[in-house]
Amino acid sequence: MSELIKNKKILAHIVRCEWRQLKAERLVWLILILFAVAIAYAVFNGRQIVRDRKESLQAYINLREEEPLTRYRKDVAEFEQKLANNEVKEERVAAGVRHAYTFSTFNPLSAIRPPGPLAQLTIGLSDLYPLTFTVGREAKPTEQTENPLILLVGRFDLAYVMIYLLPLLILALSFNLTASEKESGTLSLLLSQSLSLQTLITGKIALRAFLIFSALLIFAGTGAALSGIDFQALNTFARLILWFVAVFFYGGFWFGLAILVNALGYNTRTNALVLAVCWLTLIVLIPTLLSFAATIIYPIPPRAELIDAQRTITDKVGKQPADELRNQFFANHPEFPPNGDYPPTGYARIVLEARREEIKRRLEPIEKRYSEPLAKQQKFINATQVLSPAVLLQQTLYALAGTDRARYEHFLRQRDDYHKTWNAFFNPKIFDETPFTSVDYENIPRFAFAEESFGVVIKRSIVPIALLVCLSIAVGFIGLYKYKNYPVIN
Amino acid sequence: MSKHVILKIARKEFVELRRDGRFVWSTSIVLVLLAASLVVGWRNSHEVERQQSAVLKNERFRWLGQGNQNPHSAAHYGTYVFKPQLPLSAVDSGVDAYSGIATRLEAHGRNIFQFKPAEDSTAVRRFGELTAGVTLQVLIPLLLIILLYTAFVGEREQGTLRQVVSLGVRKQDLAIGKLLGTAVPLILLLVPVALGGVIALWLNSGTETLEKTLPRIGLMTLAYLLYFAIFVCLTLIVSARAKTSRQAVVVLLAFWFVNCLAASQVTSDLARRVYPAPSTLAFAASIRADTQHENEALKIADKQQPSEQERINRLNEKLRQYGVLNESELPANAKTIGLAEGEQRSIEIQDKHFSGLFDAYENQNKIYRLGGVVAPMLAVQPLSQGLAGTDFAQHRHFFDAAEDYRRYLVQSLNWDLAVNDTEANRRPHPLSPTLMWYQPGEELWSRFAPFEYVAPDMAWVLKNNLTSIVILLLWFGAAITLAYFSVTNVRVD
Repeated sequence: MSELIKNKKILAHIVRCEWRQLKAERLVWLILILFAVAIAYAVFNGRQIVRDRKESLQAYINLREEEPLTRYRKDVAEFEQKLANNEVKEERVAAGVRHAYTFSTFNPLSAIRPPGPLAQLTIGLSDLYPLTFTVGREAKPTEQTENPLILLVGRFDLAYVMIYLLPLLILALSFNLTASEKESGTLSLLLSQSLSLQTLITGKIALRAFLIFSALLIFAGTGAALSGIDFQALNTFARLILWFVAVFFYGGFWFGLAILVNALGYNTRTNALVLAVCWLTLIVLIPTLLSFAATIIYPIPPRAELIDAQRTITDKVGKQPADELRNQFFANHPEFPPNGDYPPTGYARIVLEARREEIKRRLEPIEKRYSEPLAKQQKFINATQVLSPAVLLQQTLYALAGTDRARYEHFLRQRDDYHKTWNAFFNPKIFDETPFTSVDYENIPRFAFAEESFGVVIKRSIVPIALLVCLSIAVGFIGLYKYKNYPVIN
Repeated sequence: MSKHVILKIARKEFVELRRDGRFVWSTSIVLVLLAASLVVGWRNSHEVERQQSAVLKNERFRWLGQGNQNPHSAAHYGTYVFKPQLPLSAVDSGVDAYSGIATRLEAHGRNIFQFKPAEDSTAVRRFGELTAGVTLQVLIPLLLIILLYTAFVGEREQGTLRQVVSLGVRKQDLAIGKLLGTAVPLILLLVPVALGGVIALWLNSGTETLEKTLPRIGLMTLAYLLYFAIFVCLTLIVSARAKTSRQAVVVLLAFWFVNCLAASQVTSDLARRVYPAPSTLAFAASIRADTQHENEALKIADKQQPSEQERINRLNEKLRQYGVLNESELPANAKTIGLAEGEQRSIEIQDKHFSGLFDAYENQNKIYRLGGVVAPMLAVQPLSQGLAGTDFAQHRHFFDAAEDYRRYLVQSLNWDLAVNDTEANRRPHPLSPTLMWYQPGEELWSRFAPFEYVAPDMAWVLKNNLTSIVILLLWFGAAITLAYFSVTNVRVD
């Protein structure tokens, strides 16, 4: 017991002395200022990007949905008023606001992908995929317009600061734990006191970790609070806490690595070089090589092939006899009786719908040639991500922020469901040509994005987080253990 | 005398380097990466090229074989075009993965390019792509720093600098000798890789393509050599001035990080702020709003664009007026001239918005290139992309050429419809024989030659990248001058 208290006292003493030393150097202040500036700029940037996106989504909804809906509702109400006053006669005519076809074809509504819950901190892949799909007779993406150079370069967001810059700051602060003390001879002097090398290292690292992590918590915490994240939304706090947990352990890994390299007993400049090479290897080379290997092992064919197939299939289905397609449609859709009472235009539109379905059905296996290798690539990355803590952190942060591919696919499934709901609502009215009334206009299905359940997000991020925890603890312990053999004297 | 000394120094440096396992390892890794990225880059662009030319052939076949149908249906059917890959895209794939390389040309307006290859990849791609361009821009500078940072400061720390100087060796000879012994062997190692690339190109694409590409290869090599020289000079400057080798390595690594990893992100975000471009949705919305506005104006002018109900009423009136039962039986011009006019209106609206959008991107890229003043990578990267034919400017060039072809195609078809859709030219519709329909066939389709794209020549590319060239040369001039002074004035201890 007294041993422990004594140790604690010594540790506190080391931390104090070390702090006085660090304080006197310009480096530590430089690092803290750089960290604060980078975080502030990254948060400002992320906040701006997401705010712009939200604003343009709102403008888009107003222009493409609210405005035409209001117009149509007004027109149909006026018509119904005239009808009630016997000013006009209802005809079974295939046109105008009273026909379901008009709205569903000329004013498709949209499936809209809102920014992820923590997109302000992690732009991730969210600027790569379409934000909206218009869902009418078909579901069509609104192709993203963005300067391709900016897409190529990537965004300066908080995730970028954590993945790239945080390790550099940690290494800059800790590449010289004992090397220059050894060179100047103060190390052997220190250790001649009742002090173990491990305690000394623990003290030195503890101070540095305290500095970096409290700076991280204060700067990034303030940043997150001001970033415009919706804290009212469910699970935002939980996501944010996990986000920080992952970053902390990532930082822990780099401290551990710094101990390990210091323990090898090189001089300061070699320490700096070795750590720089580690940084390059783990953050740049290995991720790049993993991505490279994934594309070589599971290649994705050029999209020209898909275009070709789309064209061929569309032409072929276009030449298929109408009756054949119609019968197929009736067989797949028992809700539409084959001998129902369809007006001629409605009957013709069944063929068009059948054609769309048939094209979609035939394209499915070809689209799989793209989605399947991509899924395999992701599996490959999942299996090899442990090779690079940067990949582990990236996977975690993207998943927690809701800016990864999986959430996009989650959105695509909802888009498909919405399209089905849309068709189920409109098709009977289009085929039967029953008047489309103001009540129907009120009931037009609208898309409402349901955020991924927190459980799913946890499931995706827990493995990389756990691996980060294991890696950082393992590297730290190996480093401290290696210090046993540290040559105190040159 | 001095030549002799330089060679001696160079030999000593080279021998030391060769004995150092780290040099052999790191250089081998970089060279293997370079070779692998070249082979895969070449294979990819070859595969894309092969696929695209096959699909283009099919597209032509489909266009000619679409059978008898109305020209406006043919305009809707349209055709796909692909941005051709230049041979050097294997070295630097540039923005191709993010700009998309295919688009459909059809009636009623241009489409944004579809299928960005980057969409078909995992998030790990965001760490960067293994292309020869990235190896040359990011990895080799680091290797040069590692090889050279001790040049003066290391000798000074060991006390050997004083000895060497006391022997009467001029400091600049020492610097040149060190360069010859370390950096030059590394750069010479690149020669076989480059030569291999040239031979592969020659074997694959023949002499004609090689002749066309050689000047580009030459300039690209020159640009990268300048870039490496800048790094060599900077390393020498820092090494000559630093107090300790620790300080030298920290300063150089910090510069490398800023140059290769931080500058591009910070500058591109800055550029977005200085020249904001409309977002995807705002862009689509403004085109739509303008179209609606125009339609409203037309509606007021002559009630040409009425609501659906009004349109039907007007049509019925017209049918009564001409004493026919079907819209298709209306005389030519009356109905079809409207198509050409509508197309022209949409062309004008879209021109305005697309050129606004693309001008904003070009302005952003200008700022990005100006960032080269701080980080030379922002000068060499656009230049490399430009020479490889994979920068945004050349994407736009293709996009505009494709749009010109689309207009020619669609408007010629509209014109044919307006002129030739006469009673005499109509035949019974195959699906409903009572319907009389103008439906020309292959004879008309074959009058449209397939889209031939001529990529801009090198003068165009160089003019476009003048800023980067000037910045690169300025960097080189400043670096070499400063290096000379730093080396000649280096403190002995």
